[in-house]
Amino acid sequence: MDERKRRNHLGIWLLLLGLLGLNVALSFLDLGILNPILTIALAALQALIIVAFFMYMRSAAPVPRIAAATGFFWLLLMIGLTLTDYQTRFEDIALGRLLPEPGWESPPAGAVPNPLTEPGYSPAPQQPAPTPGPTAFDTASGEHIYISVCIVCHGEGLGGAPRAGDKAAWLKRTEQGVDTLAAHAVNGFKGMPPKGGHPELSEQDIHNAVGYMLYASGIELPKRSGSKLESD
Amino acid sequence: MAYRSVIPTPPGAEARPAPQFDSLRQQYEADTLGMWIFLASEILFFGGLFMTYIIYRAAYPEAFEAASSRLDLLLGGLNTAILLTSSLTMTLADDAVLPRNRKALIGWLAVTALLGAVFLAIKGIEYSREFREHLAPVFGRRFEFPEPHAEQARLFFSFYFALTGLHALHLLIGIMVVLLMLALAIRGAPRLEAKVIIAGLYWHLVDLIWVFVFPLLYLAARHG
Repeated sequence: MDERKRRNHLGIWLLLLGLLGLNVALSFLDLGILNPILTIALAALQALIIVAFFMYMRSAAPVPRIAAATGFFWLLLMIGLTLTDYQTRFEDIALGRLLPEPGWESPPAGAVPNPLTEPGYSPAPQQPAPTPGPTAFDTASGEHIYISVCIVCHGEGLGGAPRAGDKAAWLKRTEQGVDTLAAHAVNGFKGMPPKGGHPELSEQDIHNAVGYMLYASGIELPKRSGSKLESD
Repeated sequence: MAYRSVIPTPPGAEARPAPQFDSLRQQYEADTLGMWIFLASEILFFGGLFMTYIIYRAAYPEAFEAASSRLDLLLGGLNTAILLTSSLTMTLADDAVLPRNRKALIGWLAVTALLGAVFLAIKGIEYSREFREHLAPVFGRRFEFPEPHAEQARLFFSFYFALTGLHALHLLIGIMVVLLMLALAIRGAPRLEAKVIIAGLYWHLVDLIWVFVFPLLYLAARHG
């Protein structure tokens, strides 16, 4: 009896080592999406064997079984529901909001979803601006300018330029108001050359680009009174 | 239902349960139940970390694969095998406790603790290499990753040190518990059955957690 029990334990141990070897071997094959799935599945199988045999769940009394099963159930609930949530909300990932600060890599052109260009969005009816000369931003065309001009410095943070996506750095620069920030971009300020060194761009182009970088950094654009967002 | 035969049936005065229990079986089940409730909380504790890791892994697949390939697969795999083996020796210690096979019990407990210590030593070698290669973004140290996606690679290594560090802490506690059992066994303490089995449950759980840590961190890269 004892000898048989020992042989059983040895067999389980060999099985676990075999699964480990299989798992390592699989990591040398390119199976595409199957790689992460298989590797976790094999780990789960190993875990099941450990719980059933080494932790005696196979022959445990009902109440400890329920306690153990509850733990794994809550784990599945937590991971399953959270992943469901992340899989159905891409925009935060695309905007790089999952990144710790600082650091962000610019997404390719058009990869950033822009609410202003969505089909369901109709811009607010053109109204005379309530205050003289407020800065209006068109982040869609701003994105284009950002990718063709501003990204040279604001993509990687050359010469102390705030990186697009670095919320903290941009918040500091909006302390004096977005209009001041836009004026600095147009007229030049410290390391920032006037109009980013591209005099052919219009002031509105620069404003748009600033608006886009703020948007990509997760900073809410100041809401103009009379805009559609506020009237809703 | 076939309950485990180890439900204590020791001779003489030892056979009486503690006063709050009707029978030894009830006492044994209460012991296991309490331990499993604790283990379930541990599972959820590590589960939260695993979940966060999986989310970032899905968000930055290339960066995490590049960072994972900097880990030492050989040492990691060796450590996994050592830990799986230590679970076997812990189970063999379990088997020796009821037949009153004191020599085997002391021997297997000592081997188990030793295997745990070897695991920690290998982990220490890995850590020291990663510190030397500036791959450890801990204690405010400089992090160097000459490939693209350096920021995301730093995130991977933060996960690596959090997961393996917490696991090492748990293993250290497990070693101390096993050494305590060893001391009790050497002194010939009575009623060790339940204690050794409960200590074993904790030991196996630390093994179980590593069984997930290893593929998540070390096998995230494609080695082919």
